[in-house]
Amino acid sequence: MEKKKLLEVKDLRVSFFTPAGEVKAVGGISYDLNYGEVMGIVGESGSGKSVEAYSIIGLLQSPGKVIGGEILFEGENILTYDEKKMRAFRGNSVSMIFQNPMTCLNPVYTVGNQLMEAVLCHEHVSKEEAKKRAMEMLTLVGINNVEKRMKQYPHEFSGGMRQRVMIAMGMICNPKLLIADEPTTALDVTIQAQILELMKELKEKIQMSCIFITHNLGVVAEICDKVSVMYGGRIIEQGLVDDVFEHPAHPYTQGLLRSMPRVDAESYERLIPIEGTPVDLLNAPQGCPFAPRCEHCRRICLDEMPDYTSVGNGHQSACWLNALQALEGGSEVA
Amino acid sequence: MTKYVIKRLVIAIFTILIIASLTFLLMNAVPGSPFLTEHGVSDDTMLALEAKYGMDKPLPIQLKNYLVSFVQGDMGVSIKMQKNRPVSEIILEKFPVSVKVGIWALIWSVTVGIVLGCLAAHYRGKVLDSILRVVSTVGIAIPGFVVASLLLIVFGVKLRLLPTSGLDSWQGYLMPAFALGFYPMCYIARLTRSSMLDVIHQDYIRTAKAKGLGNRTIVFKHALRNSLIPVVTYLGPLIAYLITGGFVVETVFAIPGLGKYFVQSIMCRDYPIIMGTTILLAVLLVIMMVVVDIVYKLVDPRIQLGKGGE
Repeated sequence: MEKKKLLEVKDLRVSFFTPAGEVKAVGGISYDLNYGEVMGIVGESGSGKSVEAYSIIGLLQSPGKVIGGEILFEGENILTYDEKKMRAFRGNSVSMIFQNPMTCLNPVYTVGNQLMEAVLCHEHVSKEEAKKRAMEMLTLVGINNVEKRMKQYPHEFSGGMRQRVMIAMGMICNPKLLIADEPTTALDVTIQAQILELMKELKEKIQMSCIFITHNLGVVAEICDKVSVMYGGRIIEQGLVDDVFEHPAHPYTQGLLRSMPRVDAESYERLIPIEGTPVDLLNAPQGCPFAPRCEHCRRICLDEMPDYTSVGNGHQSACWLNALQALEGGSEVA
Repeated sequence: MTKYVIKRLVIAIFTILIIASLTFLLMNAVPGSPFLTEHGVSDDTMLALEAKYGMDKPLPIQLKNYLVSFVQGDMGVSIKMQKNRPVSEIILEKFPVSVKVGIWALIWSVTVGIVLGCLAAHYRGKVLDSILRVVSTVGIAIPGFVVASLLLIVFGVKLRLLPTSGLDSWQGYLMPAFALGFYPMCYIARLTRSSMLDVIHQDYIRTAKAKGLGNRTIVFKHALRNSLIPVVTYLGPLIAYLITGGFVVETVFAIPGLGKYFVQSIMCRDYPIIMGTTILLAVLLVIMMVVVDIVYKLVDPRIQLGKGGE
C-alpha cells in the first residue's frame, strides 16, 4: 500500500458556544490518514469523537464552531471552502454513515429514490444510469431482490438492512473517505457482526479510507489499521492498532483495555473500571484532562498538558509519564 | 383501500342524517317563526300558513317527512326569502359563486402559507422569521370583517384601484379572495413552521445534508413532505368552509354567495334553506374528511388506512 496522505488534521479546535459558556469539545487534535487506511477513533461519550468527524464533513450544528486548526483533504484546507464547494465535497469526496439507521432514512421516499438522489446531485448522469448504480450498490452491500427493494420504503427494511442501505448510500459516489459514526452501536449483536463483516469485505474490495468512530474496542481491533484514543477533546494516544492494544502507553488506554471483557481471562478475574467521571468540558482542567482520574497523576499533570511522546513506530502518547520515562531512558526519544 | 372508502362513505351517510336531525330540532327550538312580521299576523292566518307548509304536525313527524322527501331528492321550497322557489335551485345558483371565490382563497392561502412557513422555519430566529411571526399572529388575531373593511377602504375607496363590490371582472375577485384566505394563510404558515422545525432536526435531514444536497432540496423535498401531515388535517375542513363562502366577506363585498344567504336564512327562519345549506356543508365536510385520510396515505407511506382505531 502506498503511503500517501489523504487527510491531515492539524491542531483542530472545535467549541460549542452555549449560554453557560464555551465548551471546548475538541481541544486541538492532529492526525494523518493515508489512502486506503482505516482509522478507528475511540473514546467515551462526550470525548469529542463525533464532533471531530462532523467538522470534517462540515455538518457541525450551531452553536458548534471550528475555532482553529486546519483540515487538509488532498492538500486543500476544507475549512476555507464556501457553502457551494462544501456541498460538492460532501457526499462526493467524503461521505458519512450514522449511528441510528432506523431514523436516518427519509420515511416518505423510496430507498431507490434516496440512493439515486445521491448520485444525481453530484454527477451529470441519466436517471437510468443512477438507477443502475443504485442497484449495483445495493447488491454490493448484500441486499437481495434489488429490483423490488428499490421501490420499497425504509419502514419495510429491518435495522440491519437499513444500515446496509446507508452504507450503499455512503459509497455510491465512490468517496475517497468514509466516516462511520458508530455504525453498529444501535444494532443487535448478530446484526453488528454482519455489518462489520460487510465493512471488512468492502474494505478489501474497494480501496477507500475510512474513519471508524466507536466506543467498541473490539470493533477497532477487528477492522482498523490504526487507532486514535480520545479523551476530553484530545487524542491522548495514537498508533497502529496492534501497537496500541499490545502496549498501551497512556494510563487511560490501559484503563480502557482493563475494563473490557476478554475471552482469555481467568474466571476469577474481574473487570477493572476507570474510577471517576468524564471531564466536564465546560470547565476543562488546565493540565491533562485525564489527570483527576489517573492513578499515576503527578503535580505536573494538573498544571500542564503534555506533548506527544513517541513510544514506538508512529505510536504516540500524550502523557507526562511517557515523557519522563523517555527522558530517563533517553534512547526512546524519537 | 376501496373497501375502506366504501366503509367510510356508509358511516358518512349516518353522520349526515344525524347532523340533519340535530339541525332540524335545534332550528325549531329557536323562538320565532318564518311567518311573523312586523305588522303582526292573525292567529287564523298563522295556522293556515303552518298547515300549508306542514308545520302544524308534531316535530318528530315533521322531521320524518323532511328526511323522507330529502332522501327522494326534494329539499322543499323557500318559505320566505324567495317564496316557493325550490331550495335545490337556490343552492345551485348561489353555491358556484361562493366556490369561485373560495377556490382562489384556498389556492393563495395554501401556497403562500406553506412557502412562508418553510421560509420562517429555515430562517428561524432571523429577521424574516420575526416579521412573519408578527404578520401571522396579527392575521389570526384580527377578525375577518376588519381585514375586509380595511381592504375595502384602502383599495376600493381611497385608491380606487379595485371594484368595491360584485364579481363582474377578475379584479372583483382580488379583495374577497384575499380577505377570505388571509386567516387560513396565517394559520397554515404557523402550522408549517412549527411542524417543519420538528422535522428539520430529524436524523434523515442530517443524512440529506451529508449527501451534499442543496438547501432547497432539503427543505422542499425532504423536510416539507414530512411536515405536511398537520397541514393536511387542517385543509380538509378548511376547503369545505372556504367553498361554502364566508358570511363576512360576502356581506362586505356584496357577493351573492351561499355564505351570506345561509346567515340571512337563519335570521328570517327560512327553515328549508337553513336545512339545505347545513346539509350541503355537512356533506362537504364529511367528504373532505375521507379525502384527508386518503391524502395522508399519499403523503406518508407508513400510514395504513383502516388499521388501528378499530
